[in-house]
Amino acid sequence: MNKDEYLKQLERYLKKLPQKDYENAVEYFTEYFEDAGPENEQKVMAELGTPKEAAAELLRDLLAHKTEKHNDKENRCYLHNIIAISVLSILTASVSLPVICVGIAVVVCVILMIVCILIFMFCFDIMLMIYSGKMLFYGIAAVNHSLPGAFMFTGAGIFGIGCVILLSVFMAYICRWILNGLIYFVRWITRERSAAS
Amino acid sequence: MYYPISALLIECLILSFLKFQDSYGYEISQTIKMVSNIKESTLYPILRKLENSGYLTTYTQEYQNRKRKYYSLTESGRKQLEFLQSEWSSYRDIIDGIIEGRIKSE
Repeated sequence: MNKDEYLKQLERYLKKLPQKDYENAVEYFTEYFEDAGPENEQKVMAELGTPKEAAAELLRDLLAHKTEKHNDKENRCYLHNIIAISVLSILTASVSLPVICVGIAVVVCVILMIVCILIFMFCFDIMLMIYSGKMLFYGIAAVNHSLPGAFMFTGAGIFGIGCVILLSVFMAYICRWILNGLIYFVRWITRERSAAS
Repeated sequence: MYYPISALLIECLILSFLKFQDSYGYEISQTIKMVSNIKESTLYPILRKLENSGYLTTYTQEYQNRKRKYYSLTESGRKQLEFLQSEWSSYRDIIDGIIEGRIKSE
């Protein structure tokens, strides 16, 4: 790679900067190459690394030094921000409080609904189990009365028990899925909080 | 060089170098590189920081048919340099003192 190619690529990666910073940085590196002279071109490029690496380091360090400068200003504004936010919260409470209550109510209702569905499936499971068991017994007991009838009831009973087993497995999967969903949801909320702070 | 050099010390070196003459990017960096193998990608942000803090100003001058940006020390830059040099003196003296066995904590 030669100097012009390198500089062109570097410019591309530095485009993220605000216009003035970008121009200053490009000017610095162009002059640097020129002052180093054509004989040192390869050495400079080797020292800088790839254009992407050099740009990444540059952006990172520029940002780090920029925030050092702004730190004092931000500490002074802190109290202003607290007061502003408190006043705003009180003023908008008439809107925000009901919204929060409704939000909580919705979440609670959804949870209750899920719980009810689970209870329903569980009861259905048990009922099916009882019926299937009964049919199985009738079927076996009816062997003496009529063979086809016995077979029908026994078969139905076994079929019912099979359904119960399938349903139980299905319910186990649903429960695990809901649990994972809850965990993920809680993590998402706490991640939002920590990301905001 | 064996020992790494901190960015703050590099600031002191840059300001010191510019106290005696204005200079340009490449020359400043070659001077600093005598004592640190710092990369341009790290040195340039330090120069920018010094400029943003008001310790340096820049101007352009022609040299061999191309433009070159020169850095020069400002008044507040000189004050900062005094502070940094006094910090460096005490730092260097204590280190030398410990190395030569003249100093130990009471």
